[in-house]
Amino acid sequence: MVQLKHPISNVIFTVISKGLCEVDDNNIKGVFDGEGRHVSGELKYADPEMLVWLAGPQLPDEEGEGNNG
Amino acid sequence: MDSNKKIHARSPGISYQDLIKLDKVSPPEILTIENSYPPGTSSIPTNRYTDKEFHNLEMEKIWTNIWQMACREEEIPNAGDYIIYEIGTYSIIIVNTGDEIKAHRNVCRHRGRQLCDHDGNKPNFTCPYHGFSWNLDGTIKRITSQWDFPEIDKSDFNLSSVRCESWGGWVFINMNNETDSLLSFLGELPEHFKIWPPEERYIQAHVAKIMDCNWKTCQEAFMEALHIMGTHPQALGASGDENSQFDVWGNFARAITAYGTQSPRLEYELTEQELFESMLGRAIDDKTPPGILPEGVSAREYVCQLSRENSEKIIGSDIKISDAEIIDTIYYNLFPNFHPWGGWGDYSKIVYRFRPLKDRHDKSIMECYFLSPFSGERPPPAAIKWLDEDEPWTNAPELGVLAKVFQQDSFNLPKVQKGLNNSPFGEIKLSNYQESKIRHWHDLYSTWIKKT
Repeated sequence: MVQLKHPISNVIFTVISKGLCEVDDNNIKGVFDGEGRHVSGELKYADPEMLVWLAGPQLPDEEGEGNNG
Repeated sequence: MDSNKKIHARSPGISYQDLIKLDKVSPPEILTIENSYPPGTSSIPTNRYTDKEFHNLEMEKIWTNIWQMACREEEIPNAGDYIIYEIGTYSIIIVNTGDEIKAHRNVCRHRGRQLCDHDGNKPNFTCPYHGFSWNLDGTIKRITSQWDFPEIDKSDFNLSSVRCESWGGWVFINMNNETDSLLSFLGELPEHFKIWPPEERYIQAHVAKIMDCNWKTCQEAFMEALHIMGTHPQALGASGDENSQFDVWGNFARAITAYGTQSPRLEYELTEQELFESMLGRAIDDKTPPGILPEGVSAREYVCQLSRENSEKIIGSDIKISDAEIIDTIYYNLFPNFHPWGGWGDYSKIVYRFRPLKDRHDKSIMECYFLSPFSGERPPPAAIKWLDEDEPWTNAPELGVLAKVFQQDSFNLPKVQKGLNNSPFGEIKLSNYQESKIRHWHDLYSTWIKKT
């Protein structure tokens, strides 16, 4: 799993499987896909670009890893 | 070069000039110059991005009259090597004749078939349709059944030549034979690149992707740092986005965004160790021991030192590489569509080109070259890799992490175009300073499309 914190909102993004991220905004959680679509959970919105970064298309050598550039 | 000017409100963060004064290895003079674009028109009509009429105007006024980058000299090293450069409906052959590089319109003078269908090497240009043939320099070689064309004067049946001049290993063409030289068009740009000579680099990678938006919509996403907060939030920990510097000269402009300094937008201060980890892209759940910053050394200084050592393996230690040149993004753009980056760092090898896809105003081609220094014999240039509209940038792993960065940009761009197509406002708004490169570009654009 890869976990990143949004530098401004401090919301935590965790890759849970290929193409899916769990997002934790002050203990309110939701799961989103790599284009920002809500999949499940109480949290309904999360920064789509963080989701593209972590759950969107990955380089062949880092499938599912996501990094911070 | 002009004196430094500060004529805008600026970010409350440390200025780029103040930041580089703290660097251990001082920057070259060219990076200490400021030449801001004065405040001015900040509203741009949306129809520049949405109307076919503007595309037609661009073809008539700009693309057929301006110097534009067509290829690299290294792509056509041998006699007979040629590249086809396309802009709108125009197709131009750039050929190495053995004596010089020349450019011809890619059209047979007999019945109009295009002479070359793809890049390659030929001893002459023979039309596949009826076999009319021209020498590499464009002079007529053979008229099929010449006895049957009494009206053709062989001394006046050459290919239509196009002006072709080079700078820095880049070949530029201009379809207007009456304009000034390329060097005159470039102005002071070669002076800026004297310390990073592009001719001493090679194409390490070249990727082109079809984009579902107007070419200007695409290009303008790569001319400022204001979008880092929205589009690349993961980079804010180590990027001086809001305190980037923007300058303009004649037909070109420059932006510099510092790396190894936190964004002024963050409401907390990172320790140097945290900044260092942010630069390394360390995930917060990473269980491996973090790289430790040596005591008394800033993250910027340390990463500069490591990057410099890395670069020196290729370019040697004769060139004094400053901290700014090894770590900051120094991104130039020459009107209308050529974007070479300066410096010696990993990102300094970037060169972008943006143009319409054939005759479409709503589709474009974005290209990224990695133009890299080398030691020893010049490596062969990488072949172009094409990505379709629906293919992710990550299908081009040769771009490394930049492919993921582009994926974030590409997530926005078709939606920007959709919004522009649907906009009730009729205009977009640009900021005074952080989007001044784009304002400068549109002022040049206005001048060009009004030309008679």
